[in-house]
Amino acid sequence: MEARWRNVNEVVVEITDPLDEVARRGAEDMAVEMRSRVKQRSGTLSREIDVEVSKFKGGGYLVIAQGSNNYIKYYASFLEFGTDKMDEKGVSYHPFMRPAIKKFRPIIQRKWQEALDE
Amino acid sequence: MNPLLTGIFTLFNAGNTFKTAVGSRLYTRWAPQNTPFPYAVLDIVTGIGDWNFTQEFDDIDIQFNLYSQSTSETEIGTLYSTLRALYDDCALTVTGYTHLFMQYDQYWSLSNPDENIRQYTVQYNILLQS
Repeated sequence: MEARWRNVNEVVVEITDPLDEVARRGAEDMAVEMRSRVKQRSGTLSREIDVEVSKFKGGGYLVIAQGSNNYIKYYASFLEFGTDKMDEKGVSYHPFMRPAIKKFRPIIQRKWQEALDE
Repeated sequence: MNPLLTGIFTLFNAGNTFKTAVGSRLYTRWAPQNTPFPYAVLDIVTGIGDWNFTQEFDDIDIQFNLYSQSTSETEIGTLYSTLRALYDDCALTVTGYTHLFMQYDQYWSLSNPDENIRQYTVQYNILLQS
C-alpha cells in the first residue's frame, strides 16, 4: 500500500511540475505584454507590473499592477477600467491587463495540454 | 467595429428600462463634460480574431461603465440590473456579420469617495462570424 502511494506521489509531481512551469512562464509572458501595452509617459506603471507566486491554496502565479509593494500612486485601475474623469482632453481609458489576459489565455491552455501530453 | 456599436445602440434606442434608468445618456469612449448623473459609457476592451477551417470569427470584449452620484446603492443597482436585462444573451443586428452571442462576463465595482461617485464596470463577450 505504501509503495502504491509513493507511486501516486511521483505521478503527481511529474504532472504538477511541468504545469507549474507553464503557469510561471505564462504569467511572465503576460506581464511583458501588459508592460508593452501601458501608455508610456514616465514608465512608472510599466515598472510596477509584477509577477508573484500566488498564496491561494491552488497555487499558481499572479500578475499584479501596482500591487503589494509600497508604491506611491495608484492609478492602474483608472487606466484599465476608465473613470468619470475621462474626456477628450484628459487621461484616456487605456486597458492593458485584460487584452493581455485574452491573448495569453488560449496560449497557456494549449501549452498546458502539451505539457500533459508529454 | 462601428457595425457592432451601431447594433448595441440600436437595441438601446428601441426603448427599455435601461434607457429610462440612465436617462438616455449612453456614450462611447467618454461622456461630454458636465453630463448629469447617472450615465453610461460604452467601450471596446479588446478583440481578437479566430478561425476554423472555413469560418472566421471576431471575439470581442466590450464594457459598459455605469456612473451614479446618488448617495444610496439603489440607482447604480438599477442601472446594473436593467443593463443586464437588456443585453444578457441578446440578439444584435451587426451589419456584415452574423451575431452568434453576447454573453455577460464579469463586473467590477469601483468608487470615487471624494465626489460620491459609484461606478460599475460591466464586461460582455461578443462573438461575430464574418
